[in-house]
Amino acid sequence: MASQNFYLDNEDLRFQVEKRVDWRSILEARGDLGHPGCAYDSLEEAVETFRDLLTDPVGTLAAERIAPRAAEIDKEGCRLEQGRVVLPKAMEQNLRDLAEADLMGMTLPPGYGGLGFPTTLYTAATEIVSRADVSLMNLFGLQGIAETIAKFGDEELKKRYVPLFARGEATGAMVLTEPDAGSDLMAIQTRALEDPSVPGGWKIRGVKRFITNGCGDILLVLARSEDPERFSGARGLSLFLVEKGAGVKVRRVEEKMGIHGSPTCELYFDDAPAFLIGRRGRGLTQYVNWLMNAARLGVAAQCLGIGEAAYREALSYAREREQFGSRIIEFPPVAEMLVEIKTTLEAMRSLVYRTAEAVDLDEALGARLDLMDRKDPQYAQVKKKRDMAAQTAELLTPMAKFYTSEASIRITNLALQVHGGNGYMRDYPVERLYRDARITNIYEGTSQMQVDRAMAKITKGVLEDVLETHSSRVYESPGLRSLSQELGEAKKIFMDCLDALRSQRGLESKTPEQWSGLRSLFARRLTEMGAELLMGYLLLEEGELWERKVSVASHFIGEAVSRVHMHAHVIQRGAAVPIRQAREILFEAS
Amino acid sequence: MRVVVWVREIPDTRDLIGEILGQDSMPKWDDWDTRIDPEDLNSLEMALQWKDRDPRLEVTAVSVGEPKKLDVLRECLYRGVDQVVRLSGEGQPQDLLWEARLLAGAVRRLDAQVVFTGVQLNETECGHKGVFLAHALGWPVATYVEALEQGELGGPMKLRRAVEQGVELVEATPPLVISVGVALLKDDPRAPRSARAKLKLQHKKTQIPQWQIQELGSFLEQRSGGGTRILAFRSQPQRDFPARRVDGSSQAELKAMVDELRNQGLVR
Ligand SMILES: Cc1cc2nc3c(=O)[nH]c(=O)nc-3n(C[C@H](O)[C@H](O)[C@H](O)COP(=O)(O)OP(=O)(O)OC[C@H]3O[C@@H](n4cnc5c(N)ncnc54)[C@H](O)[C@@H]3O)c2cc1C
Repeated sequence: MASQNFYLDNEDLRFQVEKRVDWRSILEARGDLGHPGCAYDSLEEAVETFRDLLTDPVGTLAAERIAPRAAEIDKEGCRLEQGRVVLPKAMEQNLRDLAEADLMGMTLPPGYGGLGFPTTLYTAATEIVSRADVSLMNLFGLQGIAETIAKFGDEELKKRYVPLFARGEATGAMVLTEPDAGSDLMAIQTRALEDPSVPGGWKIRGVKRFITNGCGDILLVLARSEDPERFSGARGLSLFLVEKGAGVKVRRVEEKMGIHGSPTCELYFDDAPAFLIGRRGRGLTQYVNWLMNAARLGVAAQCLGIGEAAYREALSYAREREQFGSRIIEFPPVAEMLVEIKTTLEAMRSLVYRTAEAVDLDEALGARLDLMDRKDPQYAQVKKKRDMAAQTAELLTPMAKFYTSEASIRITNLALQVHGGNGYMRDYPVERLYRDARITNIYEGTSQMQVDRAMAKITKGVLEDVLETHSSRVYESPGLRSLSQELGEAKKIFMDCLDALRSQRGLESKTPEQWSGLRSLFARRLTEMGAELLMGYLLLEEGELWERKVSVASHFIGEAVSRVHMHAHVIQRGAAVPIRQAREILFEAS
Repeated sequence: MRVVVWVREIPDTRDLIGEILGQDSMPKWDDWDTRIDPEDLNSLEMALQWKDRDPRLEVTAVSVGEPKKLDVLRECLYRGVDQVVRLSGEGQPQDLLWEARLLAGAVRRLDAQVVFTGVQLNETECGHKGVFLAHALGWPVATYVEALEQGELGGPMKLRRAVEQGVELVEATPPLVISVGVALLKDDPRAPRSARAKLKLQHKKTQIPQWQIQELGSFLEQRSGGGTRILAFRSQPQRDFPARRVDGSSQAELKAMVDELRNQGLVR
């Protein structure tokens, strides 16, 4: 088959989309399957449609148009000229291409001009686009902005704005961060004041920074609408829609390490007219929370794209380059790096698509519940399923964002290493990928914030439930069975650590502050252990569907189990009281 | 005004590995994937861009024969043509001259004024698709056209042709056959568009109209033409060029290489 297609040439992605994703559950929950007048007559037809669309336009555009422009976009970057942001020419062309192919409204409701596809399909498209140009994902991935309007805005806002996004005639931005409010969004100072004399009835004043595509046409701005004396923190924050205009000034475009095609802007709102989205005081807790979760899954898909691109660069380089009279891929340490890259990539892909499935199920079943009568005999059953999906999505989203972003940084690092000195040079794409990957564990919430969120679910037992659905499976093949046993033992060690932390047992007595310090300190280790155990189980299941996955699983599990032991050792010592130790180490003897 | 784009399905020979000929000494067409002739994508793009500028234009894509793997007419629908027609040529000797005659019949029946064709990539044929069709229609033809500089409906058209020495601007008034001759670069703003997701959903199951040869009736000239049939095929063995590596940092090795090339008369 033709090689110039970023979907068709990617067997593992095809495996996920065509064999692994549980489309039946998703489509049935959405009401897209099996009744007259719905989107698809059969599961086969649906999967064929998805495959077709990922092949063309998504896969062809990515391979034939977007990827060849990536180096030039990286070199040119974005700049500010007389208050106007100028994107690289090729980036403008990318956006036109995506819009012409109808790809800018993949998940938006068809009633407003969108394609109404499941998030899982959009995730695959995001992965493919990111592989072609990491920075393009930051604009392609902003479809959540329009989705937020479609989901929470009133009818007038939806009618006016959503179709513009769907046609690719408008782009948006998610305007949250301020100089003094980054991880801590509750500290936001930007004010929103009611003013019946302006369109929308609100005015926004304040400074936002690090805003991706802040120069976009439609901005979703988180601002303090309530009197801080009466409603402090998150309760005082609401979400607003602001159109680009005289009251919105781009003061600066950042010069960054990577993703040069994506403009990162500092914005000044000078009494910009604004429309309220949804209800007052729900801005952060509900709408931004939803939007950021969608964006986190997008970043996870971006990480898959980065990983895939880096893997291919490294593999083809290692096959060509000769040293000491042989191809470097023949040297075990080089082969080991490649194997590490590929197994990590496949494991994280499995995690990301399971996350997307849970998100789709949660959304679809939630929408169904909204329409159901509580007295309906099926209500309780649907609700139970929805709650399970929602819990899973809330655990897996931060977990996947954390794991894949850290992994994409490791992967590009290894891929660069495979290139030796050449990898350090601008001439090789891996240099760009290495820089591009670095942002992924910072934006949409740093890794530290992701593990904090994941940990809240882990301590509540959500991960246990999720693991249980996979670990109880019995395998026929002796190979898979013994791997499953190995994972089972590691899982027990993990559970012991978790129990110890939950029950504060087995560790020397600590004050409540020390306890909370420990919990926060060990959150990263526990999230990583949990994520890797889960991915181990997922790979085992895939081993039943595709023979070569057994080797992938075997390598991954071998490494993951050894890391579980390592983390457990640190946790069980429990001696780390970070601040006290930190003082000794950081500030020397003073 | 109606314009026709003539599209063909060709074997995708880009990534072929292994034996190309079957037991019967014929290329193993049935084993290969197919694709829309990329040059036809260029001509389709030219027609669609013309339509983008003037929506009164109606674009019909026509092809001959049942699809083998890829339905090229559906591909045209996915890219935005208004109408498609499949010509069925059951039981006929199917060479290019014959196909052109059949197409000419369809063009007359559709009452189209301009036909776009690609220059025809398929190496085993002669690259004269547009010329054959113009001949069958009795129309003028502009070959190796790379851009439509001006095209007012009903008026003369200005076309840019890529010729060996440079580019040539020609004028012609429809009816006219335009043979698009430049493989547009991927990054060229004129490069063929991809499928559109919405059209793809819309036309997944659209019935494609079929015209039997009998239905072309009076539109089809009775004069014979064409009729060659491939009996066997022999591929030319690839020439083998042994490669040798020279250490670029060694003056001595570089000098030895230059000397050797001189001795062989390859450089002076
Ligand atoms: C290229 C780029 C694009 C961006 N795009 C957008 C955008 O489109 N919209 C938008 O609103 N924002 C955007 N951001 C902002 C981004 O989301 C923030 O930079 C990020 O959330 C971190 O906030 P901060 O930079 O203020 O770092 P801080 O919050 O100051 O964090 C500094 C360090 O402290 C750690 N830390 C902070 N609090 C805790 C805690 N409680 N526990 C443990 N560790 C903690 C962090 O993990 C980090 O390591 C973008 C940023 C960049 C660099």
